[in-house]
Amino acid sequence: MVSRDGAESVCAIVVTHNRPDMLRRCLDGLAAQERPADEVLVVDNASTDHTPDLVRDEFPWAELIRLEVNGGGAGGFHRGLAEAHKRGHDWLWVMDDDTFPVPDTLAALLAGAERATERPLLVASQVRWKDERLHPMNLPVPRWRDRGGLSAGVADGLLLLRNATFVSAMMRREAVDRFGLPLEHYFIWTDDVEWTSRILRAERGYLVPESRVYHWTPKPHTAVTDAGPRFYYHARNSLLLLRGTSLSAVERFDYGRYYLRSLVAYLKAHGRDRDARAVLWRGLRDGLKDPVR
Amino acid sequence: MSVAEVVWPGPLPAGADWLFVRGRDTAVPEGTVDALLGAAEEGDALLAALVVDGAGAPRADRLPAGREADTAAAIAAVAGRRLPIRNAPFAAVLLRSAVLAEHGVPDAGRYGAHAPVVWTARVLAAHPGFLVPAAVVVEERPARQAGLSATLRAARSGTWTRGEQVRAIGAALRRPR
Repeated sequence: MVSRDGAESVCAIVVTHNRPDMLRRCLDGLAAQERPADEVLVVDNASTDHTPDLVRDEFPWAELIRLEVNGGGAGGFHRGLAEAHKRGHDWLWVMDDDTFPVPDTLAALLAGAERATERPLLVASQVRWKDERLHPMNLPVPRWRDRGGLSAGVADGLLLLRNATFVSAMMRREAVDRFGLPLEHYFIWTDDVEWTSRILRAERGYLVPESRVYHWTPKPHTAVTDAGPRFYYHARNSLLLLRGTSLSAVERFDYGRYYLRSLVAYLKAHGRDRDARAVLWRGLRDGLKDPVR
Repeated sequence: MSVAEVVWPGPLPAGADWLFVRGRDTAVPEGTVDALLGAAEEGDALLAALVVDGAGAPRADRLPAGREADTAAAIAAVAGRRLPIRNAPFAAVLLRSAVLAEHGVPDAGRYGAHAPVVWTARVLAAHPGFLVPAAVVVEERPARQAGLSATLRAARSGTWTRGEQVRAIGAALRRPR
């Protein structure tokens, strides 16, 4: 598909659930882009408030895709990416509703992809929290071991990535052609790491330093010890990731160490709570039993 | 701003503001030192050139290790076409001479071919250093391999990651005798 000005077309995909104030600010940010997206899809994960009305009334240029059942972030991005791909867009730009782009976020992403000597399938923005620090939940994971590829990227002013989160990451449609879609059954967490790691295991992806967004979470937390029942998804999805093919053997070893540390931290914080132990147990059980894909 | 060029292995003389240390098999195109000097900022201890093979492909075995500890600093540096590094082989590096007074010289007797990497790791733990891909040098010959005993001493130097230790010891074990 070709954009109105003859350039490659970009479809922005925003996944939302019951956060109209956040969504409004996100869509305001998309409306203010110096280089606007050619189409904006808002995937509403079965919101029970006035989110659908907000989109229809205040942002009629955005297309609302309303899901009858909340599919979590994974389900929302799966559906939005499938729709954007079906519509023929060249680039698929994903973000949560609490992601606030600045006016040149998209233009900088496209410029970064353009100047890369090695054609990337993914480019990503740097993600900041409210106080300007890099958001701990969206820290980029550079491909440090690939010294040659890393150097080539630096020559182009780009940081070679091993994976990215769904907070202002942009993929070529070819990524879906070749690697499929994110896995719906992850529901929340790790779906982005699994999918982008799958894509970037043998392909190029870069962080574009000039492109930035704000991820407006209440706290700059890493979500592990205070996740409550949602820790289930961390425990389960990390095991699914480790059983899958997105990571190399060495990466599995490193991720496995991180995973074990997170389980220990969770148990230290909540190990005396029977319900919390049950959450962990169910996550481990399903992570070993559920299908990887 | 004075620059003295020296070939490694060899003595590293003090006197000039900077030393340009190159390997004896390194082909250094004109303008390399200027490119490194142009990328230097106040306080930088070391600027390393990108090392490629005869076909122009980067040589991973002759490139510095990136500094993983500070992602924000890495992003800021990459925007300026530089990468913060944790160590560097002496293929083509511009070295601020003042660090010799502070850190001494590489101990080739103890660490063999690993001496530059061990020494620069100590220097770069205290001062910033960067890979500058705008400066490109060519090395076609395989890098000199260290023996097992020098590799084991380097592995115990406290400057290598676990992965670097494993790879270097593996390479030393595979080295033809």
